[in-house]
Parts: sequence; structure tokens; C-alpha cells
Amino acid sequence: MANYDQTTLTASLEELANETPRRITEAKKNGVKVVGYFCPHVPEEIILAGGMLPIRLAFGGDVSAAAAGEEYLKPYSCPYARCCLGYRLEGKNPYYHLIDALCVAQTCENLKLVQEYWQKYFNIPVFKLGLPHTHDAFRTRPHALEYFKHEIEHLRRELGEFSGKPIRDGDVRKAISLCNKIREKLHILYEYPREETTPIKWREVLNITQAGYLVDRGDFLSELTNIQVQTSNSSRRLETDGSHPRLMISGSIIGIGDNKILDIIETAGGNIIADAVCTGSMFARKNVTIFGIMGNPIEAIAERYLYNIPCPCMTDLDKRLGRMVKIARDYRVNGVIYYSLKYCDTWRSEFQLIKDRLFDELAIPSLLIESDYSPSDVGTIRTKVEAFIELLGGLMQ
Amino acid sequence: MGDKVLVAGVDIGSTTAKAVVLDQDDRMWTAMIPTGTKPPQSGKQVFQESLEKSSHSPSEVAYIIATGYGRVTADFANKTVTEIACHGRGASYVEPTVRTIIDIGGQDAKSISLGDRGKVIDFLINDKCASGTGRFLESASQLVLHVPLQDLGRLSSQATSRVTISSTCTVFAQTELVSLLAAGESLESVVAGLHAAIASKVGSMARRLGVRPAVMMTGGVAKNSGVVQALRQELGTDIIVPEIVDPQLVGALGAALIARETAKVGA
Repeated sequence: MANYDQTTLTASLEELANETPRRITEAKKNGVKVVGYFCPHVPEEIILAGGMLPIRLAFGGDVSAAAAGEEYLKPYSCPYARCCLGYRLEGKNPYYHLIDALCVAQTCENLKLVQEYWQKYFNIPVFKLGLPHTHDAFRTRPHALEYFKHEIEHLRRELGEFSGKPIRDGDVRKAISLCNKIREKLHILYEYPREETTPIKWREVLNITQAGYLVDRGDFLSELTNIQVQTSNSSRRLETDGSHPRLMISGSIIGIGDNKILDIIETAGGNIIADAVCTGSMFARKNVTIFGIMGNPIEAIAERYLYNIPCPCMTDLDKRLGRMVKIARDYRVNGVIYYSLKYCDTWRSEFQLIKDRLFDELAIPSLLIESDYSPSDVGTIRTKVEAFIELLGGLMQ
Repeated sequence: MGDKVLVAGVDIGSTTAKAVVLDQDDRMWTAMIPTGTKPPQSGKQVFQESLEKSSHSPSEVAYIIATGYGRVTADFANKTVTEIACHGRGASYVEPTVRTIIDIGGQDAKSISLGDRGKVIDFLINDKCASGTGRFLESASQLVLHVPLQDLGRLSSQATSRVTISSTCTVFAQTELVSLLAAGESLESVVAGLHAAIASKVGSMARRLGVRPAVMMTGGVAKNSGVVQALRQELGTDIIVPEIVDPQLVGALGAALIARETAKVGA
């Protein structure tokens, strides 16, 4: 299936990404610890502040890894979660073997199981990060934030003991500054595809974001600065074709390498310009803001990580829906494709609410695609996506 | 369009390939053949068969649109359009007041919602599974019940009672049918139960999308009066079955109509 033209824009970053497993192996020889995580509720800042390398284990889209994961998880469970075990079991993806410890935010049931298997069968220490699921747009539960703050403090202590060096406030502040810069730069890139002509496609920005889950974060910032320079005075401006609908994608995690749905949409003529996905633009949402020189960095981290990550494991549905409506309006999207991983009950259950809200407020239609990583349903999905694009074309007339 | 007075729609389904050739006066010539193992060839063949019936020559065909599962490999067509759009267009032509279409084909079931001007506004397609589709009826009638497919409608109308079949999974349901027959249930009541199971499955999909009258049923299974009747009961509404054209041809007819509009725009 055709991918977009690969240009020089991200060549240097790709090279860096290819180098990364070897670099990490070297760093490990010098005693550097590698800490993996799955959900973006885990603050990379704490890992970085402890002089460790954070790796977001966000790979997906691999049929054989998902099948391998069935050794522990049932076949009819989230394919991403199965991959989280399968990559390690298969031994083909280097990152899953470079991990010294895992840090797991308590989000969905499947990942809670995954962490137990990593601990029991892979002998990897797991640091659990408690996450209060009950909070809302009006912050009527300050104790939820208080609890999360304690959990992050606890994580800081644990990771400090693990690395052999206590993590000080000053280290956390420095890490916050680095992560904020990365988020700001990514955020700027995600804003480009909103315009009629853009120097970069949404999918390229997604790929850049995902490379950032693996490579050294300092190097990543330099790469982003490079990319930013190139895009801001770039003569290469990709024309977005007016006859192809502007789409937003939302739903379950889009793993690194999970190209099936994105390829089908592109081939069918759809133009994805925005997302509300935790591996995409939502990762770069909002900075950690420390109030004043005396401000508590842990408090600031708790604030950012509790309130800004879209996940239906939380009860802040109304806030998340409002955010999606805002993105859809700001990016003037014609339709929303909602990609729910098969057996991802967390996301699947919310589809109707999202669909109704988007239609009631903006008259924007949504399409549900429920799929796993197997290629067996490509034909049906293609028909659904093409019919959706025809439908949007009809409404746009 | 000059000498090119004809347009064609070719619907290459999972089980049957259908073609409709249409002239400027809305006269139509149609053909239907099993899709078999070579969908593009079947599509081409069924188009040629319908063209032969019209006694026109291939050079008089202005535009061909392919639809259905096999559309992607139909290189003889000028364009491909999904079966959703084609069923929408075809059903609107047959009956302009239609707002809900329930299409049950060989391999999947769809529910389509039309807006006030007959435009598709929403749709649902069942996922990769033959449950509640033509394939399910076909295998049940041939492998378990040993009656011809076309007799199912008549048999269920003669039923005095109706068994409950809990599974519409093609594989599990067959096991269930065998045990029901072994327990002494009559063939008629088993067939009626089979239709009710399909109606329940497809009906819930239609309800999820919203059922607004008028409701039309299309696709091969619409020819089974037992399923249509069961679905009427399930949804509590009347269901139109196309008469001016075979229900199985509605998609191909829609493709031909879209071909005509596209050719006019392009000319």
C-alpha cells in the first residue's frame, strides 16, 4: 500500500531512530537504566530527571506479535495489549528487550494484566502509578489531584532508588523544561495541516511524534528544531486537495507501525488533518506549568498529566467530548473516523456518545471502524471508508 | 452522449455478479451469474450478457460503474463506487420515499439511512462474519435442512409454531439446527425460527442506525418472503420489496444510474 512521499524533512530523525537501539545498548553498558511505559499518563519528566531513558512501548499493528501475546492474554482481548507482551515474547522488536524497568499508569484492565506478566514472567520490576479515574471538567475533586500528586511523589522515590540516585526537584525542573520544549515544537507541527497548504502532512507529524517515544529526548529536541526551521522557510508546500474531505481520526491507540487504517483512508482519498489520539497530537497537549520559582514541580506535573490526556478510562467524558468538538471546529473537519481496536471496550463503548455530540453540535458525521491488526477485514474496511468519503462528498455538494 | 446511448452498472458481490444496462428511456437489460473464483472475469461476463440482451454494441456504452466486493479489480469499468451509494441511488429510483434500506447480501448485511433528497446520510455494515446473511441461509438449507434455498419462504409461511434459535453464527447455528430437528421439531418451525434469528440480528443493526419509513429491503435475501415477514414483525413496520426490478439488482441499477449522471457531468 502506498505511503506518502518520503522526503528529506525527517531523514535525519529516521537515521537517529535507526541508530537508537544500538545507542541504548551502549548507554546500558555505562550503567544507564531504561524505563519503559505504555500510557501517556506516565510523566517522562520523572524518568529523565533520574538520568534514565524513557521509552514509550507504543508499537502495534503486528499480527504475529498480537498472536504471541495470546500466550498470556485471551485471544479476544485488545490487540495492542497483546502486542505489549508479544513483542517481548517474540524477541524481534529490540526495544522490548532493552527495558530495565516498567512504569505503568493504572488505566485499562488489559494493561493492568500486562504489567503483572512483565513482572512475573519477564522478571522486570514494575512501578505502578495510581490514577484516579473520577475527575471532571470543573475539578470538583481536589482530592483526586492530591492523590495523583502523592502517586507521582511515590514514583519519584521508587525510580530514585532504582537508579541509585535520589531525584531532586532541580532535576525535575530541568526535565520539565526539556519536555515542554518538545511538546511546544510538536504542537506547532500539528497546527500546520489545519491550513489549506501545509509544509507537512498530519501523518508525517504522527511519525515524528512516534519517533520521539524512542530516541534520546535531547537529540529529539534538536531534530525538532531542525524540522521546524525547514518547515517554516520551506518551499515545499503540500497542496491539500479541496475535493478530498478533511478528516479527523480518534479512538484507541494508533501504535507505531499500525498503518492499516491510515493507509486505507489515504488510498481512498481521505485527508487526515487532525486527531484526538493518545499517540498523536494529544501527547503534545499543554505544558507543565510551574507557578513561580518556589512552585512545586511535582504538583505541576500532576496537574498536567491528570487533566490533559484523553482516555475513556477517565470519567471526564464531557470535557473530552468538548475538546473533540473544539478540534473538529478549529480544523474545519468534514468527518470523523473513529478507530476502535477490536475488544478495546474502553474506547468502543464511547463511540455513540462522541458520534451524537459531533453531529448535534457541528453536523459532522462519524464512521466507526472496529478492527484488529489482521489483514482479513481490509476489504470491508475499504468499503466502509470509501462509502463514508462518498457520503461526505454528497453532503459537501 | 452522441451514439453512446447506454450506461451500465456491474455489481460484483461475494456470491453473485449482477449487471444492469440502461438506455436513455430507462429500459433495462439485466443479467446475473455466480461470482465464482474470478470476480473480475465474472463482472465482465455478466456485463456482456446483459449487453447482448439489449442487442446494442459495446461501442454504444458511454460509461460503466463497478460496485460490490469485487469492484476493486474490475478494470473494464470507468469508475468504482461503493455498494452503499449504489443501493441508496437504486432504492431511491425504485421508490423515492425510501429513507431506510436493509440490504442482505451473500456475505454481509447493511443498513443505509437516506436523507430527504435520497442522499446517503449514514450506514452500517456488519463486520467480517457471515452471520445473518445469505451465506448463512444457503449453508443451513443445503447442509442441514436439505431443501432448496428458494423454498425457505414458503416453508416458513406454513409453520404453525416457531423454534428459538439462539445463535446466528453460521457454524454454531448448524449444530443447533441438527439438534432441534433431532428433538422432533418440524422443518417448517425450524425454518421460521431461522428467519426470526436473522431478523433479530439484522433488525438490531437497523435499529442502531434508526429505522425511518419507508423501509426497503434489497439484496438476494429480500427474495426470501420469510425473512421479509420476520423483519416486518421485528421492526414493527412495513417493508417494501422492489417489484419493478429484482431486489438483488438494486445495487447494479444504482451503479448504472450513477454512471448516467457521471457521464453527463463528464460530457
